[in-house]
Amino acid sequence: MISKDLVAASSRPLILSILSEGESYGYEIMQKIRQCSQERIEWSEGMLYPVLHRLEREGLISARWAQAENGRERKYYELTKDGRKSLQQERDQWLIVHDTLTKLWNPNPALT
Amino acid sequence: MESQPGFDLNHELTAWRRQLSQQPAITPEETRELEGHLLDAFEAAKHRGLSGKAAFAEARLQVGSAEGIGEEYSKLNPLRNWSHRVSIMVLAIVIVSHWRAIGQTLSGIAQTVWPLGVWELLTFGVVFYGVLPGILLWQTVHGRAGSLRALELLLRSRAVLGGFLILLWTATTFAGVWAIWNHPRPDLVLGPGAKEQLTLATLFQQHLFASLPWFGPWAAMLLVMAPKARQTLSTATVSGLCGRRQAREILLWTALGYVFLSACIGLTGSLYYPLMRLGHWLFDMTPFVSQLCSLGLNLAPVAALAWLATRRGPLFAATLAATGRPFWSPWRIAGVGAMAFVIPYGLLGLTLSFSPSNLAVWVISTGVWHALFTVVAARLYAQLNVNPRASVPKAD
Repeated sequence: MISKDLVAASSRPLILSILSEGESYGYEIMQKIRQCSQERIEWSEGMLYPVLHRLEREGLISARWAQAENGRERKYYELTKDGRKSLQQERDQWLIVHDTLTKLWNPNPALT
Repeated sequence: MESQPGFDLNHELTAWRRQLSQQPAITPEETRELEGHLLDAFEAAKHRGLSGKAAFAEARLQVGSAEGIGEEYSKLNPLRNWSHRVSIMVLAIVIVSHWRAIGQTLSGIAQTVWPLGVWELLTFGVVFYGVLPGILLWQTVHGRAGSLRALELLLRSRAVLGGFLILLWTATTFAGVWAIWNHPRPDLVLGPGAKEQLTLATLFQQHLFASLPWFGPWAAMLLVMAPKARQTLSTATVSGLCGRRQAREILLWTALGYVFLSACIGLTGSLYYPLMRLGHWLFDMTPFVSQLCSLGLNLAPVAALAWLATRRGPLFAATLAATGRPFWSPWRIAGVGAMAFVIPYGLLGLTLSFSPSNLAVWVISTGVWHALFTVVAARLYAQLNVNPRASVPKAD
């Protein structure tokens, strides 16, 4: 299981990445995170919404209420232009961390 | 809606919504969104073959506890929490100031029946004034605020609360006047020969209006903030669902309300007398102008708290930073509490030119009370010490 701190740190890029594929709502975002991580990333799901609202406040995503197929009202979130830029920055930063750790853990790949 | 023997979805949803509504940081719109998530999770669990009851229990677990969600939202909307905290501080200020007035009246009445010496008065002061922080300390140790149900009922309607405040104000004044009028040495209280010049009615009228500039602004603020105070109190009394943390937070802000009140009494008192002297020297101060000055001085702390509850700004940001930082150890809280007593009361003592023995009795009786509240606040703060600015979601 992934630590709380890492889950917390990755919450923004995870949400932004999912929304870059198109409009979505809280429950669906959680399902996608669960599915992509093969259930190794676990959140108390109610905690997702404060992060979504923070992103909305920062102008990285926008939200609207709409009626779903089952007749219930849902709040849908969508990535904004600023959100796309922020996602690109997050992506660059996480890739730097990923590359660094890969090099540190595999110092001489040619020998393996 | 889902209905099975022993399970009623509507009923369960209502109970769940009620729990969320106790969280000051969560708005009705956010509750609506969380409810949608809960129902999606419920339907998915049902689809996997779980019974209604088991599916709802699983969905609730997935969404998380109301307390945990409320805490996350409070990091997002600290201002909402602040208005609730201030409402509790104001409630505490009104209660504590009346407790103090009742204590003074009782000691006055006791003196009309039999003469009390310094030690008897001191013992009475420690016992009587010790009850309120004692209750607070006991509740802090046990992490409960269950006995606040009566207050919650009082705050249910502004009309009832307003009526109660007027009654309390009149009754406290009347008892105080009775104690002064029947005092064995009225010259000590009213000044030499004053009793001969006053009637009971004029004394009552004077005292009633003398307490208005102090009591009026706090009572008005409490009336404005009554719904928030009630909501915060219900959080602690909602049958263990919201737990010890909210109860402790309410008790913390109650204790801090007193520390604030104590500092205000000292500061406004120390400013009042020099200003009055200056006013009398410069102008012809009528009683009405004196009352206006007193009102102005008393409005300052009310305005500061109102600003804290409603506006974002440097003061709000500084307070948030100060109260949310781990470096505010219980010792620092206790230090600030002590300063909040020593500085204003030192100034007040100098202004009133008390004799050393009177000053000692006064400082000991008031200081013990102040210290107890400060200890309660420091202890609670140590238990609740978290950084409200952290933005990380919990993964539990």
